[in-house]
Amino acid sequence: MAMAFAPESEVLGRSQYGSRPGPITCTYQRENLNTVMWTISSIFSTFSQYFFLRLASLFPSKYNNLMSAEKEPKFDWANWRERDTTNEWDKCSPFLESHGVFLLGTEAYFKTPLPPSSPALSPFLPTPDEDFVYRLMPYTVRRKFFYSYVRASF
Amino acid sequence: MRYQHPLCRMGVDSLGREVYIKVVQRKSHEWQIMEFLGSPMMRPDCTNHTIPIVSILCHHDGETVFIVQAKWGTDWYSSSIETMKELYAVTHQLLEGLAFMHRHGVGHGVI
Repeated sequence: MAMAFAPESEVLGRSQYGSRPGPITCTYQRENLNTVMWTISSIFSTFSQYFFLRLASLFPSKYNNLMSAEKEPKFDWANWRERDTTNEWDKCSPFLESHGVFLLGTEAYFKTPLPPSSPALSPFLPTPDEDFVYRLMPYTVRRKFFYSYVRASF
Repeated sequence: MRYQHPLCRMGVDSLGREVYIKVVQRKSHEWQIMEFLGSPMMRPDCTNHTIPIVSILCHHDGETVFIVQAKWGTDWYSSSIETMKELYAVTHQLLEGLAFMHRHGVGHGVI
């Protein structure tokens, strides 16, 4: 019996797959493959999450804001009260931009489109497709400072 | 450079319309007054001539609120009012709006 079993274990175990017998060696290889695949998939998912967040940050929306909530800087209201607010406004600029409001002086400010051409029928209840004011010179390029010629619509 | 209030900044919205952005604390009286004057109950009042609020942005810290308002014109002295009729119309609106605020127990403060 011992003589009959020995050659078989030699063939399946040592000579082809190393020291383990055949079926066990195959399982071992599958485990290795699973480990490698798991590693690759985890690396891929980490990078894909990173790139997704980077890509999403290019398109401002309320969801981006939710994702980056933990990274949002906290405002120092002591500075607001002391009226030293330059840093605070710089901090809140990304937050405002994510909500579609662009501060004067930022790069995004100059990339915004010209306002709608029609003034609001009721200046106190403007709709999204209406401008707040009646412009004497519409379709002019936005200037660096607010010296646009406007008047209230009656 | 013109004088700018430290808690106000100018900007534009995504449609390209000029806006004023004012930062207030949620627990402040100013925020309570702005919320009251811009509420759906007060806004349809034809004597409510306070500047309309475009959007209210509440920050995640729970304390800071950004109030985005429409920007109207430049100022009283450099406005483009041309006729007496327009001047009277503007003055009437100003006084009517002031009376509206006083009627609801709100004072302007810087007139």
